[in-house]
Amino acid sequence: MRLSLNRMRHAARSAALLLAVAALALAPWPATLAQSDAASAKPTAAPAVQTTPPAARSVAPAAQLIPDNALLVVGLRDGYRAVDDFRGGDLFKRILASDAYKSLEKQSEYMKAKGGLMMFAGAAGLDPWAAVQQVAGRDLLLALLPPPKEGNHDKPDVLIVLTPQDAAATRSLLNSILVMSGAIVDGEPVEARSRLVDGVRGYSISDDLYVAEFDEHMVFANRAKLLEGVIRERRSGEKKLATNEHFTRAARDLPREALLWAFADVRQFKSMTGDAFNKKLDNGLAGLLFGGAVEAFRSADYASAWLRTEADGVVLDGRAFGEGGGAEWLKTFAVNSEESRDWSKLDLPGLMSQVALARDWVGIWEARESIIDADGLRGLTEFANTLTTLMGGMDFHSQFLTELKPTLRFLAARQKLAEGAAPTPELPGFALVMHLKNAQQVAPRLENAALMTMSIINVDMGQKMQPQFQLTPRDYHGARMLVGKYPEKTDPGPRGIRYNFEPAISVFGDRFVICTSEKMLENLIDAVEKLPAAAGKAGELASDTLHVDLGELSRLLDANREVFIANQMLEQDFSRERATARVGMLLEAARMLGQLSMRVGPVSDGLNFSLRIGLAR
Amino acid sequence: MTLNRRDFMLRSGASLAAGLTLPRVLVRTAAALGQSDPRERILVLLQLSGGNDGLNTVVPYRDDAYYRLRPTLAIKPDTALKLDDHVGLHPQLDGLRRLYDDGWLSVVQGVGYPNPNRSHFESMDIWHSADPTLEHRETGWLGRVLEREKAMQALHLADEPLPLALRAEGVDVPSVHTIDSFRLNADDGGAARRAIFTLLDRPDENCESHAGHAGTPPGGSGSEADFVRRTAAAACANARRLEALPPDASGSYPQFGLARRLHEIARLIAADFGPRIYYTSLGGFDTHARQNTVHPNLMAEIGQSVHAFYADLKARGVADRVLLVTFSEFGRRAAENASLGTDHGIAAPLFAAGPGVRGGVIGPSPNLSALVDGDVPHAIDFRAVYAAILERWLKVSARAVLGAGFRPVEIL
Amino acid sequence: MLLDAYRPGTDGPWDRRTASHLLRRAGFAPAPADVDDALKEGLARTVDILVSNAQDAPRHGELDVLGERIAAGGGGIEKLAGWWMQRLLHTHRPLHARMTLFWHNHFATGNQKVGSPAMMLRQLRTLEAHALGRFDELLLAVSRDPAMIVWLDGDSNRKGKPNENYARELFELFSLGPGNYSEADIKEAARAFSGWHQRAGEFCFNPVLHDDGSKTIFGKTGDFDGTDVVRMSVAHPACATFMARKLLREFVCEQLDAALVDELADCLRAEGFHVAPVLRRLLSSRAFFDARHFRARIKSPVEFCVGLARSLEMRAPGQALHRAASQMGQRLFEPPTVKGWEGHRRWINSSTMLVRINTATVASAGRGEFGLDADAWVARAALENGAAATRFAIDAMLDGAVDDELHAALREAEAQPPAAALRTAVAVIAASPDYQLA
Repeated sequence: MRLSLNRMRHAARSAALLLAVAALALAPWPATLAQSDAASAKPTAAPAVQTTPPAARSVAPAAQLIPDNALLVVGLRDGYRAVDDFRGGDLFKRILASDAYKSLEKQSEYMKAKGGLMMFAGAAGLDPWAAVQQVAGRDLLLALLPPPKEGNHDKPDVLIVLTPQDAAATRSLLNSILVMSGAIVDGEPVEARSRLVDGVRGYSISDDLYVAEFDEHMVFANRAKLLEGVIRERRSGEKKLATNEHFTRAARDLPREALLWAFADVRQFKSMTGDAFNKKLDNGLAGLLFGGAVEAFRSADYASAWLRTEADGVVLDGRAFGEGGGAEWLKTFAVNSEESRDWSKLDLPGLMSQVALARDWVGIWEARESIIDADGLRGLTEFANTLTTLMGGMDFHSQFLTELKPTLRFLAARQKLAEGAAPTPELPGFALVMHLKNAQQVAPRLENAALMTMSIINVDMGQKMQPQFQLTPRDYHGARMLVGKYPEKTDPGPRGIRYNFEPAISVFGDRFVICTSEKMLENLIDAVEKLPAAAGKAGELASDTLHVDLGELSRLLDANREVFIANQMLEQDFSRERATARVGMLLEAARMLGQLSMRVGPVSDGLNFSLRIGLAR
Repeated sequence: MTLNRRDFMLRSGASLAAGLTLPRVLVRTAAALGQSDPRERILVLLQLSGGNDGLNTVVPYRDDAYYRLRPTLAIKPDTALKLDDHVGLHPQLDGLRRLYDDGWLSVVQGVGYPNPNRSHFESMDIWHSADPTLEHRETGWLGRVLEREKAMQALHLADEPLPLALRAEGVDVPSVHTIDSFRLNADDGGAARRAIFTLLDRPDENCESHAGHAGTPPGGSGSEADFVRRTAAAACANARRLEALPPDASGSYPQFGLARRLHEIARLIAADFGPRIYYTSLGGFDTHARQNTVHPNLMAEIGQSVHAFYADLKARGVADRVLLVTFSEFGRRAAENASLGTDHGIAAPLFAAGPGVRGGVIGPSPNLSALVDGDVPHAIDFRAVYAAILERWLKVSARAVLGAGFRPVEIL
Repeated sequence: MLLDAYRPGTDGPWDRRTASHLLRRAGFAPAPADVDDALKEGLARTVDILVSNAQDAPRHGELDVLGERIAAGGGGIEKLAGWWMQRLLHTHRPLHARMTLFWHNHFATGNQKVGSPAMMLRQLRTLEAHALGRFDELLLAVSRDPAMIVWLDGDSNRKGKPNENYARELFELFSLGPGNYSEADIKEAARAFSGWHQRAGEFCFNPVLHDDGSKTIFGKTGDFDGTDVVRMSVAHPACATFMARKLLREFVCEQLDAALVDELADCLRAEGFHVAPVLRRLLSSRAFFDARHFRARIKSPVEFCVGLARSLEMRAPGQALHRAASQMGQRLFEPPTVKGWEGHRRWINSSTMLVRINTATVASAGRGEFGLDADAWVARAALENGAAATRFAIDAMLDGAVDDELHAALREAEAQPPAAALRTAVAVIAASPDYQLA
């Protein structure tokens, strides 16, 4: 008994977690980035993307110094002014005034870092902010290059090109670094640490940091030979990033106001990492849900991304594109949106997050062996078999998946729990919404599945001498619901776990909803009734969207403050005071955030991605 | 070479007066006479925790009652790997089937004990202590062996705490998750590690000589400090020996947890690490529901892992020294239940593998038309199996360990 | 008399070595500041503080209140054990903590069978409440403890069908020791405890299932119940001797001197089995400070891990300490059998020794969760070079005494810069055989 139940719980939990952290999994990849096609209708919930293309050269003046076999290039534009704007801006004031910052100031790590910075800046006669500005400069570029073939190198080469805003001040900063590291003594370059190459003087700051200044740039490299090559080739325009057609193409997409941008040569990454890049996913469910996106990325050749700031937030856009285009995978990943209602307008009390995935379920299932490895497939088969049995023999693949419309929704909302003991930790309510083609036909089977699941749970509870659910059907505003409730007189138990969980399911319209709380399901039924019609055009390719109300989330975290503090005390051996300060700091930082929304969607030649984080008003 | 075994003996601290360890040359001579020397023989005990379903492991494919009682779960006659006219193995036990064909597998049927107990906790204690009355649960049968044979060592390789089977007064069996637990980790870049080895390791010395080593222990009474010193030296010796093990390329094992553990045991056996009894376990056999989603995977794990184990041992030339025996605390009921699983039963078959076994199927095949209260009754007392292992393999007095005489089952 | 007071100055010194010996045996390895305090206060006052009933430090208190929540939350017994270890790290009542551990081993109850962190916590609270108190009260409280009832099948003990498990262990393991009672005594005592059940983690006396008939125990007859049996056990002449042996093995050494056992037994009887004054007497005695007992007792895993962390004021989450101690063979709340952990030499075999060594190197490296802050010590103790750092470690961990071999092993450390030298020295010393002894 216990085994199958655990597996189901595990599967459900995996699914929930995967959906909820989809953004976090994707965000750090510098190259999983997308741009929505200028031609497509603007998605209402996701940020708009600028498409004014500036000239390639002004994207990165230093691009003509970087060799064109760069794996990854990251650039900061107009950093000098950005730092100034930030210092003068509202956000900065809010941060300084916040309690979170005040307690950050007391943390020893912060003090060490600050001390280091002041020492560094002071040596150059600058105050710390000015030093940061000089480093940001007018343009700052970092490039990762493949390791050189000769010698025993396994780490990539690093090249940094800084185009200063204020050349004199930056030069003085560089000078103080050179003095501190002993490359310059008494105003003269030390012979062992400096060399003249083609009229340009290069210095070695340390064993793995070399620098030279020429034209209007300061160039840092991790290897002497690398720097030498850049110096010698500085006039030549051949085989440089600036002339790389894919780079110029990506640069065309880059909006003028982008602060930070990145470009990655995915193809080279692939050839360097080989098998690891193409390893199949080992989790069946993850493969099913995200396999298409992963494959689209893997078959891309290049990727680019850029970050812009807006008055009340930041926007990160990106795309992966390529000649081959991942066309194969688009078939299984991309479907036409069949939305009839505009769910971005969902007015559900306490709504914290909403994830929508649109897939060709049958297509992906049939292609699963090429996405998922043997272990994952085993897990997936078990999952499918379990569901088939629970649904009274309705075959998972040929009868259930074929019934599903493309969009699957997962919602989390704060729930009001029954009177009496408040549970700790307080969890949100969850709901899974599926759209069915023939809802009325399939509904009885699904209800049956829910009944069987609940009765299995009940047997498990019975063995543990805990109270069991009573299943009650009822009608709510025309929709039929099945709710599992504990009997009235039940002892809430040591931590009121039962109050976190009151399974409820319903089939209404074309929707099949599984929810963890009766009240939330009622609210959802009402809210869905009020949804306006969908805004997008028919035939449009559907994207995946994620929307999180960070404010609501932070309120939930706040309600669980004691739990976090206790955890910090135990897991980090902090005193209560320190744990409280730390948790308070994190919660306050969370409170400053407002909304997060993300969209991932296919286009004809790749994958687009957009992420927006807004600050709380 | 003898140093290996002696060093490993130290860790029990039971006695320094080392047992009789024959000079290596004599050991080899006995081996040359064509029979593996009893002193070199190794027992690997594989515990299947949860109650393995014997009827789906050794399948009575000719018995109509079997199919009537298990409409969903029964193994179809054409898929069972036939051993004889009555029973066949579960289709996933192909690895064991191949051992059987080579004469390296004995299948003992109907093993149990009188007055069956269906509690996991208690029935396992019965198997471990070899006492069906449950009156003497302080020591285990293997623990008692180790108590009598001071020179014999054991190793428990699993994630669970040390089982009762290995416990006895004055007996201390190391229990580790992986053999990496015998490695010295020092991640600081070497200085600490070097210093610790300098301090503790005694690579060339005999253990006895530690008693009079130079330098005064600060205030400590000679015996405790010396005891710790000797054990620390043994620990270092293990760590050193483990690092000296050649990087392991032989044997391609499947990707199962059990396979990994058996692989490590094979390495230790081949490297003469010391223990003569290895104990490991595999869990998940308590299949009350949806047995078909779980049991076949477990069968695959056992079949493939044990086969790979013996293939590896053979390649290393030590297979004839190793006997592997499986057991479970009880079998499962003949009829399937409403959740497509089975409930706790009583008797079940077990396996004894290795070149030293006689091979074949022993014991009466289950007759599902003659059930007792829904179960196949036991025919062979498990202590008869133990007696065979003790008398004929380990050459230890079975009566002394089991407390009574049992006629050994003809597996060896 | 062996238990006569040890007079510093006359019978021997009151120096760092002696003070450390006391603090180690009566608690955990002391930090340098603790030894300073002890020297300042003097022997008598130090012992007084150890046995006193004063409130614990605030840091301990704020951890303490989390216990019930942890036991109720789904964290499992691991989390509760980690919490206990963490309190040990921060307690200012180390003798009380040691006695609680002693009683935990004495009444060894395992969660493997009880299966409820909440009940195990409840038993722990009972042990804590009586740790330095009267043994007879403790014994009665444990007889009524729900976890103990589950552990020793109290619920199966009913009128007409007595279950002897608790009565047997009560006599054999908890109060008298083998050979001081008869099987008949056990049978009758079992009847006396019938009906002493628990329900949902609470003690629940079931009068219907209680056998209130006449019983003969230790030659006396009456309609005894469990309370009477407890009283009679403690009054039995063998009890004081049995408990004296146990206390001496815990605080003095494994090999027992018969005369000392008798003296301590008399003391127990004289003090009415009140642990605090008995310990005061023992810990101030000449027998306790006999030089033969210095560094002569193998530290248990909990003593080793907690002592290492406390002596160098390391940051150590309870979970990390619990994991280390578990691998060394001591899982709190899960003793192997009702006999508890044998201890002493049984703690040390080639694999647990390696765990101690590996724990030492991890803790001294200071990265990760369990760690020494070498830089802080270098600053605080003004350690200018490797030699000074090594000397500091030797003083802090071995009371300044180091043999030639250890000295030779530390030579390389002396050449390192002070923070690195301190880390190396701490690792080597903590791995050394002498450090395994208290």
